[in-house]
Amino acid sequence: MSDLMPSYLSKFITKASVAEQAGADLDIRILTGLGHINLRGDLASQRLSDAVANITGLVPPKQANRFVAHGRQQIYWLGPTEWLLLTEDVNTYGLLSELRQVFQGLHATATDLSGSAVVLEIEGPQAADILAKGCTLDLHPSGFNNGDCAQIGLAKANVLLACSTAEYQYKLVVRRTFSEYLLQWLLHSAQDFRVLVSQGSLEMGG
Amino acid sequence: MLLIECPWCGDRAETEFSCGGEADIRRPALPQTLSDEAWADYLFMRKNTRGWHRELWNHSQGCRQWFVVERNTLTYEIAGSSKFTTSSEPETEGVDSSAD
Amino acid sequence: MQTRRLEKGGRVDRTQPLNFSFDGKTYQGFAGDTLASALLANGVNLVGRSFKLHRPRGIVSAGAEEPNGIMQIGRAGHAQPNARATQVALFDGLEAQSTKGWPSVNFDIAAANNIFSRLLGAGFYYKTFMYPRFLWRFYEGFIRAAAGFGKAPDQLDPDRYEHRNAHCDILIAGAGPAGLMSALVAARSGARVIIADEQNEFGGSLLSTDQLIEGTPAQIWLQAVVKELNASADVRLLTRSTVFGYHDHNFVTIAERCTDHLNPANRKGVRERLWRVRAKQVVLAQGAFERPLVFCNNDRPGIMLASAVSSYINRFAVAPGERAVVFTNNDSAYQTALDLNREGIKVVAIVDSRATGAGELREQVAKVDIPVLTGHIVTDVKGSRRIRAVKLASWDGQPESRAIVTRTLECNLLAMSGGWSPAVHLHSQAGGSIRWDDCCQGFVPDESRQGNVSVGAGRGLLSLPDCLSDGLAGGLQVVERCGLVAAKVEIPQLPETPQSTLQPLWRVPAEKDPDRCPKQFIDFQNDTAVADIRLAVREGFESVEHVKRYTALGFGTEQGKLGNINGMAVLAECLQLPIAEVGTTTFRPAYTPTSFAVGAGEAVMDLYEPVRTTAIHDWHEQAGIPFETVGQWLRPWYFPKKTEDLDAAVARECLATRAGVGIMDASTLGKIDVHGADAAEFLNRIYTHNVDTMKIGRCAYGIMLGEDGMVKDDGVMARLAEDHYYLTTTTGGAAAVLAWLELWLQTEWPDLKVHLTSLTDQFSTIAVAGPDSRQVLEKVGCSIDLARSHFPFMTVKDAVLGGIDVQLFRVSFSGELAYEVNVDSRYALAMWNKIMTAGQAFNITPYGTETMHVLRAEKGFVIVGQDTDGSVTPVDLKLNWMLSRDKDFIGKRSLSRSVMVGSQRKQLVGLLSCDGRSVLSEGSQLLDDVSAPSPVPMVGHVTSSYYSANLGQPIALGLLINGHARLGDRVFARASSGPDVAVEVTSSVFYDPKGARQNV
Repeated sequence: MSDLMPSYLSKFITKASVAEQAGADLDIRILTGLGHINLRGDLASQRLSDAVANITGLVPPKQANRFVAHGRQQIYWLGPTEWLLLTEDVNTYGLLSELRQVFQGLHATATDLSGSAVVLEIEGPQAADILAKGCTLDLHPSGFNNGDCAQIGLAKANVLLACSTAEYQYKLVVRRTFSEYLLQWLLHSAQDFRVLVSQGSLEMGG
Repeated sequence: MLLIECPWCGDRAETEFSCGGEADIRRPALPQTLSDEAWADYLFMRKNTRGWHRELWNHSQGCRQWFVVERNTLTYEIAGSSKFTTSSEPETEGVDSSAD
Repeated sequence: MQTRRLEKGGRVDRTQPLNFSFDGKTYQGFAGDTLASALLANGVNLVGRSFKLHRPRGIVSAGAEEPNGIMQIGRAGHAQPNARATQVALFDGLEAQSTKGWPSVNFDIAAANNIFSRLLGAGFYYKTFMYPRFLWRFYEGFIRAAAGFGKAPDQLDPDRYEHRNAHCDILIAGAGPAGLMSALVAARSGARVIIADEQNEFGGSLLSTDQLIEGTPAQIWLQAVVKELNASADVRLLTRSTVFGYHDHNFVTIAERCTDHLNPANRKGVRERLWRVRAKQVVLAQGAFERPLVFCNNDRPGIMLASAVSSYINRFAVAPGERAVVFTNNDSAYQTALDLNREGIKVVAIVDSRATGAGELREQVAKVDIPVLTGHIVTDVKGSRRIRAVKLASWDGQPESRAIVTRTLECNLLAMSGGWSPAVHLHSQAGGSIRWDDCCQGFVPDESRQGNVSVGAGRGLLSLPDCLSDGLAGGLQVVERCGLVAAKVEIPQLPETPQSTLQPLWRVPAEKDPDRCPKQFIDFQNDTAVADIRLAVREGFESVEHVKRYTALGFGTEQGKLGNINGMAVLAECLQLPIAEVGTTTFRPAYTPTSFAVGAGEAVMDLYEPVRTTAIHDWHEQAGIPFETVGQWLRPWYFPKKTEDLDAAVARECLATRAGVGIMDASTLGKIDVHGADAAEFLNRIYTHNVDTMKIGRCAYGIMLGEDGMVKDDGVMARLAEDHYYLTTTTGGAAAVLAWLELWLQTEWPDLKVHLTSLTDQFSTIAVAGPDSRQVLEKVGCSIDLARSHFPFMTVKDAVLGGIDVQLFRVSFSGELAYEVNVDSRYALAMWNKIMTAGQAFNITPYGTETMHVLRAEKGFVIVGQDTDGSVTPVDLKLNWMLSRDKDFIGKRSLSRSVMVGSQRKQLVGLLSCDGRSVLSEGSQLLDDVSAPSPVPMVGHVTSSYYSANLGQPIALGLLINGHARLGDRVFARASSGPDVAVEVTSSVFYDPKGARQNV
């Protein structure tokens, strides 16, 4: 099936003629074509942890508000019984079947939410300052850095905010119906800087 | 704005949470056997404590977990937060549910 | 002409002249001026009229406590009311207007109030305008027009405002000598620091002093400190930033004025920024306010605080007068005399109430031949728009003494000092207690309730050496509390100036008794005088909070910064109590007036509230239709053709759907996935019907009650597998219902193995309704047999529709044969288009929320939140059949409470206008007897009302007392306007009561 960016997102993409000019203070990349699978259950338990690791190659983080990344997949801690599996493969059918197979008889659930969320990547020296306009989390590198994530309010939307490997790089997972508002808010809050909005893909890091 | 400790996510701003009122109110096991008065007591009557108060909070913008916060309604000080027990055993009166 | 500008000195830039206007007249000042200093430099003395008595008033202070210089700055959308001239930075093109006085401050008609001032005492308004009571609204208009400061802008504010969250180890409020020392040690110890000061540059009192630090002017030391702080990694310096609120858990709010000091044409970026800071520790270094002295006519222009006179001379190079008298009860004003003398301004005398006079400073003034009159007071002044002379009397130190004027000294400037009141505002806002300090004769911070420490003048330490060492000590304390290792900081060396103690002097004796002498003002801004407080006490007021409200003491923009301590002392004298026992009024945010705009931040206009749209929104938008706002959602309201209005379009949509096929975007429904071994048991406890016996693939209409028995939410629920359910909620209830379900699951039944996942955004829902709906889906191409035998009413199946995976529900909210198509939101628009294309042959009609409402009302289906309001039970809705007898469920016990049974409950009924054409107003009250005397007994109200094109008449739903037993009765509907309408009470189901049309 097609994976064209819907108009409520594509309208934010910086025009090519503008984008060609010199670099931006802030890069906003809209990541499309990702698979989102919500995992419920005690994934910290040995049995479920192993099961998920066997399929994804990733051990779900036991520590709250952390994420792990490997290859084409990432797993984020969302709650004591909830994790998010983000995959570069838009077709989640196979992955879901495998997970549901191993979850049989266990208190665990895998739900496809690929149509439910939008992922944004924000990068630039001003990124933390701009996010701080709408977010009460302390983004100082001493407290929030590589591998950290948090579900939190950003302006009037709820997001999953993650600090990526690269410096000044954040990832935001936001519900689809709040993504237009959030992009509007980001562009408003960053209007004193040169901002480039483009389409991106999940960058995998160790 | 309060700074509330979520037992899982740590200190977060009050705006991330919603309050569920007085804690430690258990739903009666057999409602139909209760008198109107006893049922109304469960339904409506709250202590309205002045001072230290155990209350329910939900980390609604975060991990979506409900937990108990001990808060002073006079000074707004917060003494601490505790998770609910995951055991299916009903709690006995006076036992702190923070055992985890 | 800047007639009063000194030739040299000060921190103004004489190479940068700035033109500005005040009340339409043009003046010139310099960069570095405030509006107040520029006006004084131009010899403008009269800046406003007082609030109640319209007395002429001049600039009194040089800071946030200014009571008189309240200005309207700028115009149109940029206009700023209530600005204190002492805190407004001058810019080229600034336009200021006085806010009191009509037609002008120089000739104010209402000044006649002053002549009758004895009649306008405390509580005047309360006493005079009480009777007759019905005239209050009439009086109020005049009082409101005559009162108040400034005008709200009448145009949209074009400027941008924003919020900014921040975190730090140590926040320092105030960058005077004490705050800077704290900042220095915090920064060197590696703390994350924010230091904020309301002025345009750091330094506080150092900017206005000629004192030396380590042998060089204080400003040199200041420069070095600011440079070091600027160079420190984790230190943020905020100028023009007022720490105005100290909230719970060390949450502190700061208003930063980023561009107010620039001409609107040159402003770029954010105008004001609200810093929302969570600090581990806070250092409160806000300094102290000098107190006025309370003598007769002490409000006349030309009378200023001594420290303000020093500020205008030293910092702004302005001489506020030519012949000065200094009146004091403490040492600090002697420095003002020295400052005046240094600039060649004649100091006629220092009038010191103390018999002994000052400490070391007395020798210094003696050296320059300034006469000192000890044991003397200024009891009154001459002059009205500007003082001409002061009347002196000797004083024996007894508060009750009567003054006998012995001399009159000519002067046009009186610098007064009644001692200093520490700014305990933030400490007190933070919940800290305060105590009376005999040494500084003021309230000082006592116990802190939160993580903070007060330093310097803010806790009564008034000398520069004390402030520096106290700032360091406070800094070390908070560094330690943050768990950091304190760095070494040396206290700068400077000579101590031994001081004599202050003499309490709260009410300066007058020639007549205090109730008959000329006004002795305590609160200039509110025209509260000694006599008003005495009157309040005579009338029985004792609590300081009551006296405040009766006399208006401490109201307005300055909130008692200047006059409160004097007022409390006068109250204490009347009550014959120590001041400590009278106490103070409560300090609340904001410390100084803060704009609404900065409170709103960026959340205005488009960003006021998130707008959520469905995945099919593009299609609707291209159709150019009107939308209805439902919570945060935008939903298609109706789909007009050409010139159709709402009524015409809805009538067409309703008819087309019942006769052929309609299509609606129902994506906003809340959707929850319920999965786990105990899913059936869990839902059985939540829903009123038997969930556990539902067969796989079956759907059911479900309602959930609150524990109080009232309908909470409703929707369709379906059993997808033994351990798997799917349920929908109302559009508005989605988030709340999920949180509520989690509450039960997590707190009451943690043993149940159930997982809840929101699918609201994952799935879009397309409703296809009408007799032709089956054929339309068949034409799209469906993988399953849609015939009733294979896919009957109230079932669910997975299917492939037009090549797209969907979940297909045979449910109906219209009462027609209908399907709801659940599709991954990424493919929803494609799905919609496929159905529209296939539907062309059947003249498929898109419809919106309005038609949906009419169709469901024809069937008597309720909308939770419209036909119910939290006080309606399922019994009231005649849904008894949905209440299981076999099990308990949330709210069941409440339904049998004695108050819930009986004939007095409002029950859902249908209402048909007897004339067959009047469409009732929703919200109309139902009456049995229209001729009953007022108040007419009300027996119910209309909850939904529409014109039904299918039935050819209006229909309505309503809640009526004992309604189920009243079918066939006639009642009357009365709206706020229009004639009463007679209506017949009917069944709430108007159309196809047997449900034959949906079950085909």
